[in-house]
Amino acid sequence: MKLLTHNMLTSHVKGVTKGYPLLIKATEVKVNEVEFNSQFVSRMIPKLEWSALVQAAEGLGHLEDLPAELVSDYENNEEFLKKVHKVLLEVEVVEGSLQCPESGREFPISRGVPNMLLNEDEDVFSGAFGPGGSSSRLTVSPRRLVSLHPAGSVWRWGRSRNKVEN
Amino acid sequence: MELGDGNVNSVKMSKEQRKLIRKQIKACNIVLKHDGISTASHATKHLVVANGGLGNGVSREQLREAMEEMGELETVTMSPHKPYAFVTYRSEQSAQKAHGLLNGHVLRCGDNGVTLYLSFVDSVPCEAEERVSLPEGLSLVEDFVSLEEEAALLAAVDWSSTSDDVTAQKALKHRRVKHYGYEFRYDTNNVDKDKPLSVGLPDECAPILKHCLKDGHIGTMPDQLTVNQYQPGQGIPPHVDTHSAFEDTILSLSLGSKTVMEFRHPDGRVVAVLLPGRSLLVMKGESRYLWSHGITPRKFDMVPACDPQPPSAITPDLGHLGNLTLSKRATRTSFTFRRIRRSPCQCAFPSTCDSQGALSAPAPSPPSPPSLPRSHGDAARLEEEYVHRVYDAIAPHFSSTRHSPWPRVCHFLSSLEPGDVLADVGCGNGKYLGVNPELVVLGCDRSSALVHICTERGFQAFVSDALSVPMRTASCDACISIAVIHHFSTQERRLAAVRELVRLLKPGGRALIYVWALEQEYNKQRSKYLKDPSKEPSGSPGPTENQSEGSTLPQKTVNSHGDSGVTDDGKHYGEVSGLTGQRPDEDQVHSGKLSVHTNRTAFNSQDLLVPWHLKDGKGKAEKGRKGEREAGNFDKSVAAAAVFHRYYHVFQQGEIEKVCCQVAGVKVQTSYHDQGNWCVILVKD
Repeated sequence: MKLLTHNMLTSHVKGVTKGYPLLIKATEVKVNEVEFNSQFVSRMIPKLEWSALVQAAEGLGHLEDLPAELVSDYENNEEFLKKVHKVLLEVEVVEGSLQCPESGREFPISRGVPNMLLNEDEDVFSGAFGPGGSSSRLTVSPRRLVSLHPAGSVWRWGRSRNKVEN
Repeated sequence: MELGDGNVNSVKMSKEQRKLIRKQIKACNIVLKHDGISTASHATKHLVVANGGLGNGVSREQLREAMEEMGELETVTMSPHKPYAFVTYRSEQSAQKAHGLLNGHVLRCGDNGVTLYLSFVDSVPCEAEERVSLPEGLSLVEDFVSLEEEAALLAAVDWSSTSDDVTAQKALKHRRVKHYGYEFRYDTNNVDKDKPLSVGLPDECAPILKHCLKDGHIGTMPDQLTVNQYQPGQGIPPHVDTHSAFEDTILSLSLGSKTVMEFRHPDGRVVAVLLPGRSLLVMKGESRYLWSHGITPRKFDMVPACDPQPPSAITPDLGHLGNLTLSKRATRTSFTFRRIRRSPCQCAFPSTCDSQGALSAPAPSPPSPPSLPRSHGDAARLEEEYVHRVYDAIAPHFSSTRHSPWPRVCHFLSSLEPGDVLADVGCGNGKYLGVNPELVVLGCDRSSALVHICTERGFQAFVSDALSVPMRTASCDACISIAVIHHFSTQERRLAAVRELVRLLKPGGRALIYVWALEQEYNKQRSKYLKDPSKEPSGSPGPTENQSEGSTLPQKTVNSHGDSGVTDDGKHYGEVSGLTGQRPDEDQVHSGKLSVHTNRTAFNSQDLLVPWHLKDGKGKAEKGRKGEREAGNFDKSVAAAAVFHRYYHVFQQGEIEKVCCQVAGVKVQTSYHDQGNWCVILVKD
């Protein structure tokens, strides 16, 4: 996960009003060289939440002397753009988690991929539209047993090999 | 046999004869010592019978017959090629009688006779048996946990609990099962890696696992635990733990009654392993990846009588072994600790490796198809089972069939400004993430397997549900949702998915949505998805049966600049208003079961299950299918094992526009039909 991605992400835990920015808890960070494109970086800057970027970079120890306030006239300041480029596009969190600043809910980052899925009980629909639990079931549930132990057969040693789990 | 004579002879033995025999016995015992057998000076119920072994040409029946004359026998132990045997009498008295009367006895075998010399031994050594070596990578540690630890672990499993994780606890037909950390799904033969259970591993496991780490049985802590409880007569069919689900080392702690586990090699070798209570079985390498393991359901096991006897590999045809006894099974509880695998398995055993294309994943083919959901809980579960799990299971194969971006989607992407922020919600394998390199692109998908494919290709992506995308409101200049919204199973959820896309857009931002169309033939043009009758003379399968959602769009640019598209747009949109109020899926809601669609034919309903035929991932798909057809008699179970069903709601003409119109603050800019898909471009006010 690059800090550019982090800058776009926010907590979506139900009921949370101040879910941005997510706190980065990194256990593995790498820096990958990426080809510098000053135009691309300067176009990106207005899309960013600057303070969140500075905070994230500082937390990872890759601040690169970025100022707390965005400088003006950065379009022609190549030195500045290179720093932004490095922080935004070259620093990557490989392992760790993202934490919602309000609820404390953590989302794991594994092999560079943040997993932002919420559980069923955190689902946007739970509560609003009735039970999100497992009280009501689809009609498919019995087949789990059927596929494991075909009706009428006791054990199918040959065919069931490698298919059932301990 | 001439036992009677011998008996008489020995009774009538002279003092001199007796002296000679004692000397010979001494000599024998020295020889036995070389084989690690030490004789006892006192009487016991065990005897070693020198010259009475299989190596002397004495058969079990001959020896047994002679020895039984002296009293009731418990066991006769004869090892191949050895010049001695062991007998154990029920009582010490019988053994003494035999020792007194049979020493120096000549046993006739065929033309020759052998003189038996008997000595007492304290126990019958198991080392005397020909041992079968354990499967490569398998080890067994006896007494790994103390009685106290055993009790604590057993107490930690609350079988009565019927709390939130009902799915994690199951009474399978042949045993009770409970999962911790992650649930193992017996229908997909895998774990849902994105859905950890709320209950982690019990605290009681921590000291045991630390012990395993310290002893070097494992390098990292397991994060999944399956507890199985077997009553006498219960077992588990032979299986190999799914490669893609778990890392290499698997620990299995046996508590309670001992049992016998059979390991089977694909070449037919079988090794039975006795698992005593409180022992730890460590499966690594070949024993974990290639050998299957299982427990035969029975109430008694034939186990070696001697004790102790590590490591406890015993041959499967136990009847030919000597020193065996019956062990009555009682309740056995096993704790299987595993570590969830986060990347495809790359083991050296592709024949059993589902990551490498082996068909070990079973078919989630529903014998009884699910019904259309009636509640949001039902809908979420339907999608979980018939969308999310399927994509995770088929991800590599699915990705290999998704390489050509659709021209009109590319056209939309190239119409965006340099530096625009684009979110691809439901990005799949990321085929649109790199189309326009001047954009800032973020992808997300519900399937972590697919998202990892994106990141491996160097794109920024995260795992997320399309109903709740964790991106800042109004942060995107554009969004695309290609072949995603048709996987939501209720109108509310489809509407919510559109609403979420719109939330992400800045004012003036645009969203492109593609959904699969009920109308696969439009303006007298058949979509590429439909089987071409002119090219398919005799009902043979099409080039691929997995084409769906317009994936057959040709790679050359067709329709790239709205020729027929533009006129279509206005026309379609004009028809939309007339549909307001109509509920297209109302019929199915009441009719119940979802129907299974026949690939590459017209749809006969809007809500259906579309089969995905999983191929073995080695590029042999085409060859395999040919083979099947030629043989005409392929194993149906194998074929069935490779079919997955995905839920779809195919959209009627005008339906997606109608959904979009219900979202405030957005307008439908254009809509069109593109190779069997309904497509809209929305603009946020």
